[in-house]
Amino acid sequence: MKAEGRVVLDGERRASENMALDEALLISLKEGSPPTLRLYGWSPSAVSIGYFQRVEDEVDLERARELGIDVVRRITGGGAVYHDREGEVTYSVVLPLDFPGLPREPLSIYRFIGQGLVNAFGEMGLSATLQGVNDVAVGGRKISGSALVLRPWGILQHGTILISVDPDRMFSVLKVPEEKLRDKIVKNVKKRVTSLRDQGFEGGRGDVVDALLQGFSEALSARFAPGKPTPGEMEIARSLEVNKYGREEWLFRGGRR
Amino acid sequence: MEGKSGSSEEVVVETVYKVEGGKSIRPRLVLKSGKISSVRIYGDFFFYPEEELMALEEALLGAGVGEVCERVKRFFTERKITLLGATPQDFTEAILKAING
Repeated sequence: MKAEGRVVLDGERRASENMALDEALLISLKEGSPPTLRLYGWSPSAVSIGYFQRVEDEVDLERARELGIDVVRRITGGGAVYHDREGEVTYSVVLPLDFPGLPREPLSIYRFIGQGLVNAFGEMGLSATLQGVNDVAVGGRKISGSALVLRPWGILQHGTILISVDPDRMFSVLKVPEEKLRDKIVKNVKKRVTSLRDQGFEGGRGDVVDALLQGFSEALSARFAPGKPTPGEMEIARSLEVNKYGREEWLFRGGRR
Repeated sequence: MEGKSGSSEEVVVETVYKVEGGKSIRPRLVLKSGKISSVRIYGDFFFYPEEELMALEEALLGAGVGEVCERVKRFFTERKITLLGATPQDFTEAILKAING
């Protein structure tokens, strides 16, 4: 007996809108919204930082402004991520706590949902493994990273799937701990990170989206019916965008301080 | 940042502490007369529940360098915290690294 869910085949949104909508879908689980998978992109390209990070440490804000790259803080932990408009597909999944098979411990949840990603890469002809806490790797090189937040009623996990990666562009806005180490760090990233194109996958965004839908359906034993956010969910998202994600206080350590 | 001379010397210290496997802990502390007067622990780790990280920072207030290890240990023993990408010992080491330079 498969669980029933909704898949939102979303387009591109601004960074603050994307984070607001992810949280709105999480909150809406409380009001009876179904388990939801959302597949989306970022326009313009953006950087998202983890909940516990200090934006000045991680992002060259001046450079981001010059390049028209959005910067947003997530409610999930983890690191600073560069979301290229063309270079990645992002997923988010919200599940109620009583979703069949959903574990309780964060690490187990990463494994449970991560299996969906491993399956998806398999659909695309690549052999992937779970790596570390929250990454998926092909040939030992990171191709996807995720972050998870738990609430008393459910969970939100979101993450990226790299179609192509340009470390030079990434580090034009992400800070490095020491400027003199920049070249070494960029070279290191090129070794430790890979992408679908790097692995010889020639399919388009649509193929990636199809593979993710297939992969998550299998891993979660669910049937995801295509749907859209409801007007109520969009209203929550708009409110979060205005009052939280679009605000300087939230970005500059306003979140929990 | 320079401290004032006399009995209340205030120093701001921070560091980047790399955990094996790639995550980083970045403590920023204000020390007053050798005791922690404020502390923020930044980083790309995962800490559940999130609010408890603020409680850990509060638990460190007033600690001298010799008390950090005990306070961190006690904090994690007394509460149900899930920490991913780092261990409580990493937090202690990161804070001591910031203090000791």
